[in-house]
Amino acid sequence: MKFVPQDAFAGNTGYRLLPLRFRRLPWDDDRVLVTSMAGDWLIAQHKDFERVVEGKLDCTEPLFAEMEARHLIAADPNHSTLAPLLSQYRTRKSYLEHGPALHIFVVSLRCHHTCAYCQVSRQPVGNTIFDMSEATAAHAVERLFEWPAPTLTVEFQGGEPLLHFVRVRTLVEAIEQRNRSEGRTLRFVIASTLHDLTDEQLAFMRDHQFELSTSLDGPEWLHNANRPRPERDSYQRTIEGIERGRKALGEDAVSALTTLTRRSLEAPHEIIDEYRKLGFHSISLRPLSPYGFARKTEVRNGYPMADFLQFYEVALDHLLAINREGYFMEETYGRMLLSQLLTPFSHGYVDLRSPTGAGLGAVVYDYDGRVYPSDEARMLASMGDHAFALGRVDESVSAWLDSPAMQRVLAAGVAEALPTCADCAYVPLCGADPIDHYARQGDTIGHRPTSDFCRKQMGLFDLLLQRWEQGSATDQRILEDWALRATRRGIAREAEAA
Amino acid sequence: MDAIEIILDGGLFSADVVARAAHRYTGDYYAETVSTPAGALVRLTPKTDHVSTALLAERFRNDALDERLRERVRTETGELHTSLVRAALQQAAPLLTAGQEQ
Amino acid sequence: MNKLDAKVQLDGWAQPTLLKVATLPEFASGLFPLERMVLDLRDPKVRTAFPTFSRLPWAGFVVNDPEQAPAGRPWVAIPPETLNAQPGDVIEVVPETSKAALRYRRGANNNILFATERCNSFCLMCSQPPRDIADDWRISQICALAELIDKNEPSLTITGGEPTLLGSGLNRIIEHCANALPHTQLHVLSNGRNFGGGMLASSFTGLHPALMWGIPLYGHHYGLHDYVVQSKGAFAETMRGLYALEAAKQRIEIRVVLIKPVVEHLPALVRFLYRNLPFVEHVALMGTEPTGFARAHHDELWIDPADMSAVLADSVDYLTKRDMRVSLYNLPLCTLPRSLWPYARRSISDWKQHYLPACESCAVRERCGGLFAWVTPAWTSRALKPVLEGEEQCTSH
Repeated sequence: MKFVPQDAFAGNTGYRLLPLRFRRLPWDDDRVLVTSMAGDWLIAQHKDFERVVEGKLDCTEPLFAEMEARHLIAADPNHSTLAPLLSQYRTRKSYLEHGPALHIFVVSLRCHHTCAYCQVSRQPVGNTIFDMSEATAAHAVERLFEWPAPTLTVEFQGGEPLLHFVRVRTLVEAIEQRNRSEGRTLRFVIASTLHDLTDEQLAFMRDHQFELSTSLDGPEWLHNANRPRPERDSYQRTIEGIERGRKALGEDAVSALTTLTRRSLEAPHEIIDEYRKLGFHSISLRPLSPYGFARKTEVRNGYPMADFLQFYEVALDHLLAINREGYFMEETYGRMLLSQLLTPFSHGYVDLRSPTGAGLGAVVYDYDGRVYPSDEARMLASMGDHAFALGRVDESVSAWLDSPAMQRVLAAGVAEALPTCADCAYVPLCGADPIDHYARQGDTIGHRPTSDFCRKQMGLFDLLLQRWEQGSATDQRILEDWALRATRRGIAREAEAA
Repeated sequence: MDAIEIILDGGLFSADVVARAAHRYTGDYYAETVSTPAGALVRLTPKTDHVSTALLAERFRNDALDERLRERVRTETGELHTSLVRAALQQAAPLLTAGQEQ
Repeated sequence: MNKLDAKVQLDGWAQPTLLKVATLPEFASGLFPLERMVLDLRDPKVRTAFPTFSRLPWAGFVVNDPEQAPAGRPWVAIPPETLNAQPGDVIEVVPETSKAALRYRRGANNNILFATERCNSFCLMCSQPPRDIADDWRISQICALAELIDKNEPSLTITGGEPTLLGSGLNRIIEHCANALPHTQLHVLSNGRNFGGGMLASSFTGLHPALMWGIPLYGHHYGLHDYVVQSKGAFAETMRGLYALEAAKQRIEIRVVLIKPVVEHLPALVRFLYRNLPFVEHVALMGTEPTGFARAHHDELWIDPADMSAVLADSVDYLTKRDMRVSLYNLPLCTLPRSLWPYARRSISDWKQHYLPACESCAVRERCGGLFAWVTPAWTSRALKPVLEGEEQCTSH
C-alpha cells in the first residue's frame, strides 16, 4: 500500500483564533501567558504571539501544534474539532451541575473571645437571644433538602458553636433522620475555637465523623495578642482543644487556619514553624476582609494588599524550603490556585467561582432565620446592610433564587462579563465576588484597577506561576503535588473559624 | 507629583484601545485622554508619591499595543465565545434557570 | 511460536463446526451441550471410561490416530505435533480444507474474538492489514464461539480491523457475551471514529457488565494522528467518539503505539490526555509489533526502546501522579529502566511470544513478556541482554 507522507495531513494551512486572553509576564515582559476559554495555557514569546494574532503563524512551527493542542487556535475545520474545548470548559465549570453543596448554620453569635478583627459581630457569652431557635433549625433542615446536591457539607459556625451545642446536636440528628429517605452523602464540619470541649461533645462529634476546623494564628504570643479572652490563655486552650480533638476523632480530623493581622505579617516564618511544630500539614494564610469589627479596627489591624502579598511571598518560600526538607505542608489558598493552573478540574471552593459561588455553591442559615448567599453577605447584614439577604428559612428556595438579592448577585456574578476581568488571562481560573466588591467599593461590579480582590488574585497567580515556571524541578514537583492533591478532594471549603 | 504625557499615533491606536489602556492605570494614576491632530494624548498623574513612574511611557505603550491585539482577538472571536459557552453549558446550571420557571 | 491451525485428518463433518474439546471435568460440569463437544480420546483416563460414555450424543471424538476413532462417529486426529489442542479449548474443524483451528485456548493470556478484516483507518504500523471484504458471517460465528468458552474465562478481546463496522452486529456480539459469559471482561479494540455522530455510543450503555473500549490516540493534534492512521479527519472523529463514549458511560483505555514520530511528541500527548481526557481508565504504551504494514516502514517507525527510557519514565510519572493508570506492553524488561518494571505487562499473546537465545540465562525471563515471534534484528533493541542474578532488584518504584 502506498503511504502518504506527513505533510499531506497538515490540511488547510490557515487557522482561526479561538477565544483567548493573554498577559505579559511581570517577571519577563518579552513573554506572555496565553489562556484559552477553558483555562488551558502556554507561555510564548510576545513577538511570536503577535504573529499568531495577526494570522502569520506557519503550520510547520512547533508553536502551531502547541496552540492547537490547547485550543487557542483552530486549524482546518474539516480536520479539527471543538469537542475537546467544550469538554474542558464543562469540566472546569462542573461545580454548576449540582447546586449548593456548602450549607453553613450559624447556631449562635455568642463567643468567649473579643477579637478585634472579628467578622462575625459576636455577642457576649450570656446573650442567649443570639442562639438559633428550634423552629428556625427545623425550617432550615427543610430548606437544606430542597437543594439537589448529592453531597451536602454542613458546617456549624458562630460565634462559638460549642456554646449552643444542643442546637448542633438536634440539627445533626434531624438532618440524618431526613437523609434516610434522601440518600445524600453528608459531611459535618464545625468551625470552633475548640475551647472548653466536653467529652460529651467530642463523643457526639466522633460518632458523626465531624471535621474540626479551628483558628491558630501562630505562636503563643501572636495568637493571644490577636485573640484576647479575659483569661488571656486562648493559645493554651486552643492547643488542648486540638490535642483532644485529634485523640477523639483522628489526626486528620482537625485543621487550622490563621487570620492575619498587621502583627501577623511580621512573622511569616514563626507562624509556619508553629504549624509544623504541631504536626499540621496544611495551613491557611488568609488576609483580613473588610467585614464586621475588622472594618472598625482597620486602622490598627489592617494593611494594604501589597503588604499581604509580600508576606505571602516570604511564607511561600519558607513553605517550599520545609517541603524540600521532606515535611509536607501546603497552603490551602495557594493550593487551590495551583489546582486551577495545573489541572483541568474545578475546585471545591465556593469562594472563587464564575458564576459566583454565592447562593449557587453555598448558603448561610443565620441564627435568626435569615438566609444569605455567603458569609460575607451575612457580615454585611450584621453591619446594617441587608442588600444581600435572600429571605427567611420559612420561605421556599425558589423564592430565594428569585429575590432581588440573588438577582443583584447574578447580575455581577460572571467574571468573564465584568470589565477588565473579561480581558484577563486568569479569568478562566479566577472568580467573581460581587459581594466583596460591594463591601469594599460600593458596587457589585467593582473597579478592577483599585480592587483589593483583584490585586490579591493577580498577585497570587503571578507569584505561583513564576515560582512554578522558574522553579527548580524539586520546587515544581512540590507545587504540582499541592495542586494534584487538591483535585482528589471532594467539594470542600475551609471554614471561617470563630 | 507632575503629570506624565504620552502621545499615541491615531493611525495605530483607536480611541477604544487608548481608553482601555488608560483604564488599567486608574489604580495608581488619574488618567485623562485628549484628542490631538497627532493622536491621543494621555495624561497620567500619580495619585501618591509612592507610585513608581519609572519607564511609564514605555509601559503604557506596551499596554496600548497589547490592547490593540486584544481588540483584534475580540473582533475575531467574540461571537464564537458566546456560542461556545452556550453550547458547553446547555446541560449544566439547572439552578440558574430554576428561579425563572415560575 | 505455537501454531493456531494445522492440516489434520478428519471425517464426519459436513461444514465448518466449532467444537469444545472435552474430558471428564467438562462432561461433569454440565455447562455445555454434548452435541457441541468432542470427547478427547487422546487422554488415557477418558479411553478407560469410554465404554460408559460412547453412546452419549457427542459431536465427535478427538484422537491421536485415525485408527483410534470409534466406528460410525465423526472424528478428528490431532496428534501433539500438529496443534496444541487441550481440554477446554474450542477448535473449529474445516472439512473443506481438512484443517483444524484453535479458536479459544483455556488459560491463554489473550483470547481474541476476531470481528472483521475491514477497517476505516490504515495505520502505518498496522499488524492486521485490512481487507475490504463482506465478513458479517463472523457475527454469528463469534456468538456461537462465546457459548463454548469457559464461564470462568477472565477476559476476552474483540478486535479486527474495526469492530464498529459490523454495525448492530457488534451490539449483538456484546450482548451475547453478556448473557453467555457474564463474568468475563470484554475489551473491544476500536479506533472510535464511528461513535461521534448519532446514537451508536449510547446503544452500548448497560449492554454488558464489564466492557472496556481500547482506543488509539497518536498525537496531540490532527497533523500527527491523521498521518499515523493515514486518514484525514480521523483525529477529530476519534475525539468526538471518545466524548460520546464518555457520555454513554463507557469505560475507555487509550492505546499508544510507540513508533518514532509518536515517541518524539509523547510528552505533549500525555499532557493532552490529562487535559482533555482525564476520565480514561487506563493508558497503554505499546511497543510496535513488527508485522503487517510495519515491516515496510521500518525506517519511519523504528525507535530503539533503549532510546525511549527517559521519555517513557517521564510520561509514566506524569500520568501516575495524576491518578491515571499506565501499563507498558510489548517491551522486554532489559530495555526498560528498573523503575518502570512494575508497569510492564506480559502482553504478547503466548502463541506468538518468543524469547531469543540470549534470554536463556536471564534472571527475569519468567516476568518478561519477551518479544514477538516475528521479530528480526532490525526490530530488536541493542539493549537486549540477560539480566543477571542479583541485578533484578528494583532500585526504585
